[in-house]
Amino acid sequence: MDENRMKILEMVAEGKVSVEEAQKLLGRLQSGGEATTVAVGERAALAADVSLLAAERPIPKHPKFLRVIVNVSEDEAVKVNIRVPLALLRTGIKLTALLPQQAREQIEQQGINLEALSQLDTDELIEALAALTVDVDVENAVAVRIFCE
Amino acid sequence: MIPPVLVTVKVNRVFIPVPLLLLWPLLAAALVIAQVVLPFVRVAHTTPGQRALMPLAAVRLLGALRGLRVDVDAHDGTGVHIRCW
Repeated sequence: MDENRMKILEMVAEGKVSVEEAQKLLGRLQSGGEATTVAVGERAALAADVSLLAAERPIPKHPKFLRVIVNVSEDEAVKVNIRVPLALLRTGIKLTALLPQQAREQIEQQGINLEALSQLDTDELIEALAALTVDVDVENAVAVRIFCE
Repeated sequence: MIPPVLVTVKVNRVFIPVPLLLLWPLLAAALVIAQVVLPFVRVAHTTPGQRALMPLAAVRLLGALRGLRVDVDAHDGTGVHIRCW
């Protein structure tokens, strides 16, 4: 029980769960510990919940890569695992300064503000992407995960 | 931004390591020559200042590729794996 309690407190410290969620989990732990007739399965389920939450991906402070993982498990299974350095994002934004004037004018005519793009704080953008998580499950046949690490 | 040291490409069972480290001197020479020559070469609609920034931008782009990993595995065991170290 102490181990589960420690895990919950660590998750609050790391920001994986909110204080309210931690309170509920601690409450369940406490009621499970005090009751004399709590089923073994119920305690195991609670421990599994805590372990599952603890195993979730931690949010990196300074993400360096964008990961895209696709698993297609239908008849013709395909696995795609892509890791793209976020430094490419920084470099790509800086490349806008090298565009010829004519190209810049044509891009701006399409409504894209290159000036604002070049002034974008890429470090702030990348840190904002740290919490990006996209999980798509289609009938256990296609699984897509996108996140930063 | 340091350019990649090694690029490995594996297509099905064919594994091709490309030791870019050995090409660094050539890359450095190309950078120096481009830095000297490009500002004087006319490239449509670009200013000499923009042309002067191009070689270093190219090296930065190469450096940004470090850590790139692309793995595609098909059901029949075929696949493409690209890694940039």
